[in-house]
Amino acid sequence: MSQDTIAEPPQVLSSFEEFKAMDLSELRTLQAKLTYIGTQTKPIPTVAFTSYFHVLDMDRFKPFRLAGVHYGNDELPIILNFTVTPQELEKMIMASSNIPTVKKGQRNGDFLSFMMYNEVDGDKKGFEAILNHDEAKILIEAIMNQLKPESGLARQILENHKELLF
Amino acid sequence: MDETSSEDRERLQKGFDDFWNTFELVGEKAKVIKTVPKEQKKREKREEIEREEVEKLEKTELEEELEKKKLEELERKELERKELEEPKTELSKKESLIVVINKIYEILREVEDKLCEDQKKKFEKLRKKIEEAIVRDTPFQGTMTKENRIDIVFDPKKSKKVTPCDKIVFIQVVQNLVDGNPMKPGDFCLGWKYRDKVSTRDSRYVDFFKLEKDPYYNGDDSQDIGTSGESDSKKKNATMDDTPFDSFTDGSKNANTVTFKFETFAFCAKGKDCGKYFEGINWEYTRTKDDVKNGKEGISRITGARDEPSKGFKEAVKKWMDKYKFKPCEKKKKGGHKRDKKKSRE
Repeated sequence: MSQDTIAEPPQVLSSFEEFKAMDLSELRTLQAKLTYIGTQTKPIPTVAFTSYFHVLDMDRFKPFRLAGVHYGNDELPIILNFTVTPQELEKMIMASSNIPTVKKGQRNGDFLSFMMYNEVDGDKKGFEAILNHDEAKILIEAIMNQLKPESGLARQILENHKELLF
Repeated sequence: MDETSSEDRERLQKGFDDFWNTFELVGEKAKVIKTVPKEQKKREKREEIEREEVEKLEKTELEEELEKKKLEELERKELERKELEEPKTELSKKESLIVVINKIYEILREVEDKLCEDQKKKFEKLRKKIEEAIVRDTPFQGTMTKENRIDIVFDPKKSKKVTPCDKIVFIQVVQNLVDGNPMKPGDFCLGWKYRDKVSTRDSRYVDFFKLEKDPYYNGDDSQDIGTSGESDSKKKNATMDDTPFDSFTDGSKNANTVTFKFETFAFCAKGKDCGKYFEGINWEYTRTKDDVKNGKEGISRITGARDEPSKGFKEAVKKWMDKYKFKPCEKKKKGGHKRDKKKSRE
């Protein structure tokens, strides 16, 4: 969807390091999403997740969008979502820091948008990295690898997403 | 004479004889010379008349032949015209009008960037009105587009073809065009190599992902979007939405305009009339180089309503069903079709 559907004006992004520095109590309200932004004839539903202490709100991501990027899959009636523990979220952030594009918060890719949002002490923080095809695969696998064995639904959703994309 | 001398009489007789002899000689020749051209002239004239008559006759025959051919040609053309006219119904008139409107729309779309804001708003209004007119009085009334998104609704109550059906779904066939030319899906997007196997010669294919178990857009696959309809004792709309997009990479890297042509049909997937097609719509998505430059995601718009699926549509569906050994209306087997194990971007 284009920028006129965005409720708030674009906001400045926070660095990856700021998210990496969040403690477990702060991570209780963290939410993240993986949006396919490439060529499509049929939508690929966005995958979103948060901690089980928090209710996911997709609108929170909107002010951090980059103009000209296709976020149409965020607007679908279906958002595949799951919840995990703050510990799992922490591990996911750590694991994704190995991907340079994520670490630097670069938005040069054309395949997958990885966005995080959190509100810490009333301060709205947003982060985005836009990855290419190969980096996206590494990221999804890195996230999946941090899931606890009991997070079956999360694994199933991510596995399904991976199959749709690659 | 009695009074003249014998000498004179002899001289006179001689003169008379000479004259007669000369007359006879010259006169005979003169007679021949004089009478032959006259006959010849007559003959020639007669011949000329005959020739003229023959020519006239030949000309008449030729003219008649030509006239006949002309008439036959006219009759043939008239027949052809009648043949073309015969199937013309209210709908085909509407379709013809839609073709004209679509042409006008395409021209306006080309100059859209040069329009001022007010003109752009008017153009957008016109676009909406065209779409409303296309779907009016069809089961797709209520179908809408906004930017690159389309929300499709099939109302069985408004259908002329619908029969008892427990599950109405959509099958969507798509064709990707780069600057007006169809391109194989795997060339268009490197991740779509698996779609080549079910693509027709003109690159039409069922819109699907490789892990899907059925060709239905709003079927039972986990990522399917939309709801299935019903037309039995209970009437329920079938719905779906789509947000096509092209990022001008891979096959469209150097394109000026990219078009996705869609044909979406309501199909009975369960119940008494399982396997039957109801009505459908044509719609398309376009994105230009200017759209990329201006940060626009492209435009989706409805281009026509249909009673029967096109030949290309049926061929594409058949290819999909043959490839994945899918039989509609057959009880589902666990596991679905055999997935492509090869990596899609290979």
